[in-house]
Amino acid sequence: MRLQLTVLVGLGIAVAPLALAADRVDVEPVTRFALYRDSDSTTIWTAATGVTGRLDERWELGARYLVDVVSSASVDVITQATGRFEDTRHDISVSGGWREPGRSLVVGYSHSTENDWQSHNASLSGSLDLLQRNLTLSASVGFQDNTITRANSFGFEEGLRVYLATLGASYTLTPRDLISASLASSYYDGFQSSPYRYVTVAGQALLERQPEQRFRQALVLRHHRYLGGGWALRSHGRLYADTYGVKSLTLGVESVFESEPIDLALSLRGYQQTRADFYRAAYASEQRYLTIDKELSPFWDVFFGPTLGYGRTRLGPFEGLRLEARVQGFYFDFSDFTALDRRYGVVADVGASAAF
Amino acid sequence: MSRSILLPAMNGVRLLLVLAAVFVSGCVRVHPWERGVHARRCMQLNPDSTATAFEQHVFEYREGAAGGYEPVGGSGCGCS
Repeated sequence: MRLQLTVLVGLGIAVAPLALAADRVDVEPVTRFALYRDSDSTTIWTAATGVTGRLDERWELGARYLVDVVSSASVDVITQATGRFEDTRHDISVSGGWREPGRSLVVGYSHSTENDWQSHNASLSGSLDLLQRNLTLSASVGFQDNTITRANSFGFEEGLRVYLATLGASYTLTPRDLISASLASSYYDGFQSSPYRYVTVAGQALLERQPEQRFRQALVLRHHRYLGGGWALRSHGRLYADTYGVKSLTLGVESVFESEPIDLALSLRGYQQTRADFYRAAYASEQRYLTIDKELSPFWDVFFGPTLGYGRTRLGPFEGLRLEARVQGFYFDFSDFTALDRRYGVVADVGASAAF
Repeated sequence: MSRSILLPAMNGVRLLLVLAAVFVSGCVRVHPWERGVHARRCMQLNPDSTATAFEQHVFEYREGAAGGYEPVGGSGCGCS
């Protein structure tokens, strides 16, 4: 509780200069809580709170704090012979930028820390509307500098740098259709193995070894269709490939019904991937790369569930108020992972945002 | 030599730009007064960045793929 209060005060201090610098500041606080629980003995509580302040029609500044509390005795943890572990991740981010109808430019920085991981992230993104605002082009670049250590182990320290770039375009195809495409590329350079995961080879436990370079590319296509009477259909797909040899397909569809002040959505998302070239469920002999990471094994999963929203404009002291609750059940099927052949669970989250 | 290689390439780029301009200008079919439904929440690409970040965080840490679903700026809905 003390931590949350400290963070809220910190966020207030971060946005306070806006109030001093402007005659009138529009403030939009947002908060969200989530629970993840699965059949592999993992529970994650997440809470986030943030605030965005607008100086005028163009300039804005924002800050957000997020905390994850993880408790797990999953097969990954058990095979590492460490028993149940608990960890807390703190993530604080600030952003500032210039937005006006048709154009935006935003810079951001975030820092996250947990027991064995420190990360600094910087990003720059911009967008531009063209063709009577029917076409929006966007681009972003980012850089992450990560430091990985091992809990209760002195002298172990590795680095991982990540370079990200995304190009996107969205287009108003008809009065009822919106389409968009985005191409995301990222280059990972450094330690990408788990500092805890060991692979047994001929009776000998060896720390897993994954390649230090990984180039990842994802192409996402989306289509939103307004059907009339408050109904809309939102569909999306993603093609993904990387230099580890993982290839995947993601497909999703969401049916949305809006009738102010209530909106209801039902979403279905499916995912399937191939294994990394060097992944094996078991190794008969030592190889250059060794991993039994199930996220690099072949598997498919499905997520399904509803979202209920309530939104009002000009309600009491609020210029706008929105409440949202979402529940999704999921199922994973691992076809080539010895310790676990399936995993199922639920993700639930509630959120509130307001504008003053 | 380099000039002889660059010139056709530059001409190719110019031709592509002209074709793209002609094609894209021919695509302008939706007038601002026809974009009313694009201002609705259900038509936004990323109506809630915090909710999107939560959702993508779950996927990114449990699947081998990542990227592409982050916010890509404005949505072209014509609303401001």
